[in-house]
Amino acid sequence: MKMEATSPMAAAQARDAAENGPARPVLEIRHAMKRFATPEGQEVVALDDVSISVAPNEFLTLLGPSGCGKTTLLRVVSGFEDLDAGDIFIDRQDIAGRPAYRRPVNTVFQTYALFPHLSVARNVAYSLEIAKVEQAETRRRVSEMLELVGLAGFGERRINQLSGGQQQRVALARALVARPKILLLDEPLSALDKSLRGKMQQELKALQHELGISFVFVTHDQEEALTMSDRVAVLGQGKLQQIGPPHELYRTPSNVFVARFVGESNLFAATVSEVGPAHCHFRLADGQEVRLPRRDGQTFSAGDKVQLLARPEDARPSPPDNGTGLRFSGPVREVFFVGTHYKLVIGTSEADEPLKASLPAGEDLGAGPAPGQMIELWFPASRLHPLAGEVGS
Amino acid sequence: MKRYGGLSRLLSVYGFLFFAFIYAPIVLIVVFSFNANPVNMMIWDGFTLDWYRTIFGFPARLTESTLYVESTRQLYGAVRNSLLVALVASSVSTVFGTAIAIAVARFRFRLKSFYRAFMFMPMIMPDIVLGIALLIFFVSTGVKLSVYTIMIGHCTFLISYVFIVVSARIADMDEKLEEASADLGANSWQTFRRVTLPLILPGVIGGGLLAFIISMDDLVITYFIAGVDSTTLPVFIYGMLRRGIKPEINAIATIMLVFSIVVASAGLYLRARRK
Repeated sequence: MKMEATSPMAAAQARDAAENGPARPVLEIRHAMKRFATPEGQEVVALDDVSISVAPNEFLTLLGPSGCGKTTLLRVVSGFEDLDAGDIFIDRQDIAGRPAYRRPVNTVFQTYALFPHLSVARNVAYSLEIAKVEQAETRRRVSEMLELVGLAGFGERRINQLSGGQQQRVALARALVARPKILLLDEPLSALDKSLRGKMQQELKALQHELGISFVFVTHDQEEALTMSDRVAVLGQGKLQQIGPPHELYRTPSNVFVARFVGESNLFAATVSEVGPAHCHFRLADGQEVRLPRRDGQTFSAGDKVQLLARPEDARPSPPDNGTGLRFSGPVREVFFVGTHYKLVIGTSEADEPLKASLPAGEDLGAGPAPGQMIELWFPASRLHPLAGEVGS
Repeated sequence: MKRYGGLSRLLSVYGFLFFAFIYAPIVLIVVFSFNANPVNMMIWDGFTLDWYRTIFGFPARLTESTLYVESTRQLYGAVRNSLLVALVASSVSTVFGTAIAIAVARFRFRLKSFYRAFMFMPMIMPDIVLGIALLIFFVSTGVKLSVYTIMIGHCTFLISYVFIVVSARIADMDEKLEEASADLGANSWQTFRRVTLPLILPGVIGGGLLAFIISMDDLVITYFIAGVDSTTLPVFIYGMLRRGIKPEINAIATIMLVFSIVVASAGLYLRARRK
C-alpha cells in the first residue's frame, strides 16, 4: 500500500487534541443491553451492560470467543441491530434509532459482501454514487482509494476475477472511500491464509495510522488482537471482561476468563494466607508460599481462594540462589520445537492441568528436553499475577 | 461395460421409447400441420402450407371441408385476448410475486411459514375448483365476465409461480449484500434498485415468462370465467375441437409450440447472459 507522509485528518485531530485537551471519544457505548430469543424460545443475553468508548484515531479490537457478543456490538453500532437498553453516541450525537444508511460509519464484512454485478471501481464508488458526489470527483477518489489499497488499475475487473486478498482490499477501499468517522471490521481477515493475514494485519494498522480514522476491529484471534490494537476489549458471555492496551491484558488480566483467552496460561490455585500493607502472601496446595506486592484495586482478604497466573515464557529452567518464586518438577510429556523456543508440557502433581513452559532454544538446551525426562522449573514471583475466583468462573 | 452390453442396449431402447412416448404426439402434430390430406391426417398426401394460409385468412384451396376456420377474425380475436390477458396477468403477477418473495425472504414477521405455505396453495389447488370458485365469486358479486375477469383470475395463481421462481433466486443471494448497501448509505429503495433487483432479475424475468406461458396456455380456469366475447386461444381451440378434429388445429398448435419455445429460449438466453 502506498502511504503519504501525513494525512490532513490526522493533523487536524492532533491540533484539536492540542487545543481542547484529551480528545473526546468518537464513539461511546453506554450500558448496552441486547437480548435475543432463540428459535427454541430461550433467551440469550448478547450484550450485558457493556460500556466502551473509542478515541479518535484509535485501533480498538473487540476480542472474544464466538457468541460472546462482539459481532452484535458491531451491528448495533452500524445500525443493523437495535439495543434493548443503553445509548450509542457518535461524535456526541445520540444515534439510537437512526437507520444504518444514515450513520457515519462503514463496515468491512467478514465475507466482504462485494456487489458481484458491479466492477471493482463501481463497488468502491457505490457510496459516492448514492451520495450524488460529482462524477469527476468520484472517479478521482475511487482511483485514489484503489491506489491506497494497492489495486491501482484493477478498476474495470469483475469481483469474481479477484483473489480473496484482493477482494479484501476492495472491501476496505469501498468502506473507506466515504471517509467514515469509524471503520468497523467484522473478522475481515479470517478467510485469508496465514501468511496473507499477517501481511494484511500490518497493512491495516498502517492504513489506520495514515488515515486517522478510528477502527473497531472484531476478531476471535487473540494473537491478531494483541498485534494490531491500541486497546483490546475482551468480551465474554455478553459482558465486557476487560479493556486495556494489549500488554496490560496479557500481563495483568482482570479475571480468569481473560487470562485464559489472551495468550497461554498456567493457573495455580492458591489461598491468601496473609494480607500486609504492601504485600499479600499466597499459599499453594503443596505448601509453597509466595509474597507478591499489592496492586491498586486488589481487595484480597486472608482465606480467599485465588488463582496465580504464570505465562509459559516466564518459566526458568533453574532458580537463582536468592530469588523468590514457585518451583515445580515433573516429567516432560511433550516437546514442541518452534524455532526460537521449546514448548514443553509437563505433568506435575501440584497443578490440576499440565504445566506449560516455553524455554528459549539457546545453546544450553541443545537438542532440547526429551519426553519422559524429569525437569525442574521455576516461576519468579515478579512474573506472577493473582486473580480472584475459581478456575471455572 | 462390455459385460453389461446387453443391459446397456436395453437401457438405450428404454430411453428411446421414453422420449418417443413424450414427444411423438407433438412431432406428429407438427408433421400433420404440413399434410395436404384434408380428410385423413394419418395418410400423407404431400407437403402443404394451406392450413397455415387458412388460419391466417388466405385460404388457398377453397374446398368446402377446409373452410373450417369460419372466421379468421374470431381466431385473431382469441389470440389478441390471450396475449392481452397473458401480458397483463403476468406483469401484475411478476410485480406482486416478486414483492412477496422479497418480503418472505427478508422481513421478520409472525406466522411466516404459514404465509409461505399459503403462497404455494394456489398451485396445488385443482384448476377446476379454482375455476368454479372464481366463477361463483364473480357471479355473486355481480361482476360481468370479460377479459378483465380472466386477468384477475389468472393473477390468483400466477403470483404463486412467480413467487416460487423468485424465492429460489433470492435464496441464492447473500443477505449481507443488502446490509453492505445500507452501510454505504443507500436507503431501502436505493438498495432495491441498485443491488437486490439487478441480482434477482434473472429470477424475476424467468418467473414472468413462466407466468406468461402458463397464462397463454390456461384452459380450465379461463373456460369458467371467460365472457361470451372474451374467448382466449385455448378456449377457442377447444371450441373448434368440439366440431371435430380438423387439420387447421395442427397448424395453430404448431405455431403455439414455436411461440412457447421462443419465449422460453429468450428466458434462458437472458439468464445465461447475466451469469
